[in-house]
Amino acid sequence: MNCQQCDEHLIDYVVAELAPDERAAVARHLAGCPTCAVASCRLRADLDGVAQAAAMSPPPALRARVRAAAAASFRPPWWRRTLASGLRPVPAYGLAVASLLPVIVWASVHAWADRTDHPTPTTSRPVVVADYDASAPLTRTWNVL
Amino acid sequence: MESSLTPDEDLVRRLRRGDMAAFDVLYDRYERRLYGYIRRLLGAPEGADDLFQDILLTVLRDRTYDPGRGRFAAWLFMVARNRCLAAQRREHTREALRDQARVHLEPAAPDAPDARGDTGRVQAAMAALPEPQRQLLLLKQVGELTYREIAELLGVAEGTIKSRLHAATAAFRRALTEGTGS
Repeated sequence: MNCQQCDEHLIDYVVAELAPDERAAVARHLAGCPTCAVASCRLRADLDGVAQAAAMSPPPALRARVRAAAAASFRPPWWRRTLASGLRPVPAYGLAVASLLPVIVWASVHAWADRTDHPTPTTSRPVVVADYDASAPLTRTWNVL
Repeated sequence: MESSLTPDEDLVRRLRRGDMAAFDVLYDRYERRLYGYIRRLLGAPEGADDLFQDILLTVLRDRTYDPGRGRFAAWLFMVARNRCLAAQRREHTREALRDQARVHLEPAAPDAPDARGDTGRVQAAMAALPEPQRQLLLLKQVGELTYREIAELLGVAEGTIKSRLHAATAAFRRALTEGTGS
């Protein structure tokens, strides 16, 4: 690529509108040609200057106005909001459960204690072993070969 | 979790589901570019706030825009350009032709802080350009539209946009140099 060809592609190069192979060719030329490299830098600075000089912040109050109007337009239906608030991990829910925990433990312990203090009566019968003679001697038979 | 890399189109989808955090990201991305674009095209601050709100809400509410089929930026600046031109036409009907011509050719009134230094010079050079060239540079550099998007917007071939941008950039460079020399 010579300087004339580079100049023809320079603006496309600067605004990133070149195909990858053309872009690579221009980049290679710029790497070896100080004149075109300076022209490229100047063009880029000019175009960046356009963007920076044109940009302008709107009044801060305008944001709130536009946001409120957008929120009114895109407010989800009531059932979706309810569902979302129910599924949202809000710390307040955890706090409520934590505050109820002692009450739950206390109630559980008392319920269990009441149950162990008054065991349910059961009718126990002695175990009877049939054909057992406690006075009979213990005998062992050894079979010695 | 918001990310600066989240595509505009995803943010539009989320906003349509009622996610206002997506609105905040979009607003932060476009407020300076869109407001600046409107101000440069109108040339006067009157009505810019209302137009800004009108354009942004129109684009966000418009269900005919399909985020899956086109870039949000191109759609936004297309609507902005049309609205600004319509506002200019309305202004034309209110003023006498002579006054209108003067206003039309008058450089855009820069903000007081911008009127100094390089920014002021750039703004003066931009204001010195013919209207079509100024619009083209704004669409390319402020709107960040591609050649193809600008070509579709203006109804001309991509090659035409490319050659016009060449000419506009050269004219801008001349205006900038002359402004520096004077």
